[in-house]
Amino acid sequence: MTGKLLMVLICATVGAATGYLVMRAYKRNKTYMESVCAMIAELKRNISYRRDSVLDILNGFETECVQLKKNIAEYSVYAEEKGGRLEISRGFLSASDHAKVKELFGSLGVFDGKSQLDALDTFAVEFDALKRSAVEKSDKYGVLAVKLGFLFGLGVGVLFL
Amino acid sequence: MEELYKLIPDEYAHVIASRLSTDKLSEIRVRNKMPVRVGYDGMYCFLGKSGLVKTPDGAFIAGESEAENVVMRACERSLYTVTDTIKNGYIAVRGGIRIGVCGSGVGDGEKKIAVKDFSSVNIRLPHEVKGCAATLLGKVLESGGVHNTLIVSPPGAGKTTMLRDLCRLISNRGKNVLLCDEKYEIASVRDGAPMLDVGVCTDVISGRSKSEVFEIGIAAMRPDIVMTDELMFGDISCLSRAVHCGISVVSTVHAKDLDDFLYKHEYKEISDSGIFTRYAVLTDAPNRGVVLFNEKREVIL
Repeated sequence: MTGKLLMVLICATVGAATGYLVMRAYKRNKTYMESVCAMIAELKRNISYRRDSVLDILNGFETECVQLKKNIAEYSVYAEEKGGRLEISRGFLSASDHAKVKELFGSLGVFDGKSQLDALDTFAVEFDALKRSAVEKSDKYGVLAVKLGFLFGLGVGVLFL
Repeated sequence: MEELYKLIPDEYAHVIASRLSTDKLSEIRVRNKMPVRVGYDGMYCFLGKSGLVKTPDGAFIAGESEAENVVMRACERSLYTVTDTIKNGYIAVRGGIRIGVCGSGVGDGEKKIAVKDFSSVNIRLPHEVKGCAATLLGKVLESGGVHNTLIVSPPGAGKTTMLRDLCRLISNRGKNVLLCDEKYEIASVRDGAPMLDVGVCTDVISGRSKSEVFEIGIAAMRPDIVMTDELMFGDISCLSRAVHCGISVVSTVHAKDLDDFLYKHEYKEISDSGIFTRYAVLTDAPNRGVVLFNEKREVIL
């Protein structure tokens, strides 16, 4: 009996852990999109007035998002190298999100001030939509994934009995 | 020289660092798909793997978008930081380096809004020759005052170098100097501090026109002397205003010699104004030198 109960408990725990991982993935995506939006806002704010170089702005930009930090570091290497190619790692991003992020980094510094701000405005709208979608997914499905994972694990455990 | 090496391809940088004396290097001309040319020790040569070469054979051939690469490196991949100066044909880089830029203008009616398709660049290196204006100083500074002085020189003969050193010497004598550095090449201010020595009592306004500096700077900073580079037709009203306020003016002008300056139509207003009481005429290599004239056009040095 104890063995069976333990089996159910293990299945429920594994199910909940899987759900938790799904929740983390949603949250990671949400944090990334929020950080990208904050980065765009910082770029716009600086370029509107101080007009520091992209590298200076990005190096002064603080974020806790590990993936975005990595992407900024990759951009820095590209900007400082002679004849380098822009390589932005995909990480956990979907193919379409990754393409959009690469497009954003590729657009930095190749326009005059007004056109750069216009381009950033366009990116701001696009990334804001991605952020809202990521927030919604994280808030709506994140907790649900843990609950469903737990229930699914429990169900599987019961079926084993 | 580190700033220069960041701008140019590594193969050029390697040759310059290993085979040339950087003190003698005055400019590097990079034209897309053409041999790379350098101004060295007062003459022009081509740059090749073996160092300086006299003919284009054996010279480095610039890549088809090399000029654009130099521009992008110069602005740290941030074109918007230099759009305004590029429209006027140049980019100012750290360390006083100035890059002349050629490309296709993009216009919106009468107004030029951008430059694209960069075809060639001329990387001009500043030369800080401390003491080169020492001989002038005694004749420019007299009885506690400063003569309104005009440095007359053909392009590339060192008028900016002379102006910078004169500024340093006068400033270090305790005179408050307001330096109008329109093209960032006299003081090369970066992050709020001059990269080149312009003296301890010098205030620098960079990237603004002479008319703005003379109007705003004089009232705000109350200088003893205003120094500025490359006078043009139309600058006379600013100079007159400053001189009427009791402020001395030291400036430069492009001309082959004093006669060339005096008889050039575009400088007529300046020469007729009688503002300047000292004319320092520089001669280019190989006979570099300076001759100083007084207001009666008599040689005094």
